[in-house]
Amino acid sequence: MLPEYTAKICEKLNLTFPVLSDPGNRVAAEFNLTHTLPDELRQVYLQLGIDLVRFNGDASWVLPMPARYVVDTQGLIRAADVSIDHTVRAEPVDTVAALKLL
Amino acid sequence: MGLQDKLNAMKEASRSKLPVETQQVMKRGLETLTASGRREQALNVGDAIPGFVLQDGAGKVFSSRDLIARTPLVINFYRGFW
Repeated sequence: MLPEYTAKICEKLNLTFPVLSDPGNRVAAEFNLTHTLPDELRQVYLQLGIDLVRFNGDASWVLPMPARYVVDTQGLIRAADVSIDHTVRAEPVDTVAALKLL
Repeated sequence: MGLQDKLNAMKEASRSKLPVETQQVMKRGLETLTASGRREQALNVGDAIPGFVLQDGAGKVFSSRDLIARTPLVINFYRGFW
């Protein structure tokens, strides 16, 4: 999402960690997380008021698969959870457990 | 109640209000993404992350290399507030 929208999330939820903007999903693409919404799904999103052209600032309809990575100080991934179904997410307790192993 | 339990409850509540055709479109979208094999291409345990420099909503700059030099990172990719 564009920075104006990520700023809103931080405020609304009182987040203490940074929420960054990834313009054009460039970094997400380097993690091989990106996919493009098919036409019929774009229509559904628009009907639901989710206008990605507006929120993301481009007309690509590209989104990242939700993912959570634990990265060590060498820059290596030590835990990875990639959600093919965006309604399924990794449990935070498992992330904490992975961090404790480092 | 774990996070997934809460997410499942939210999904149940919102999905059931959607027209059947809409639910079908969402289901097809998931099937297409699964069949594409994209999930298997995503970076995984043992891979090195690419370096990146990104900004937060206030324009503050964050460099992954600077951050990991000091501490391990948890990186969450999420789609949007909607």
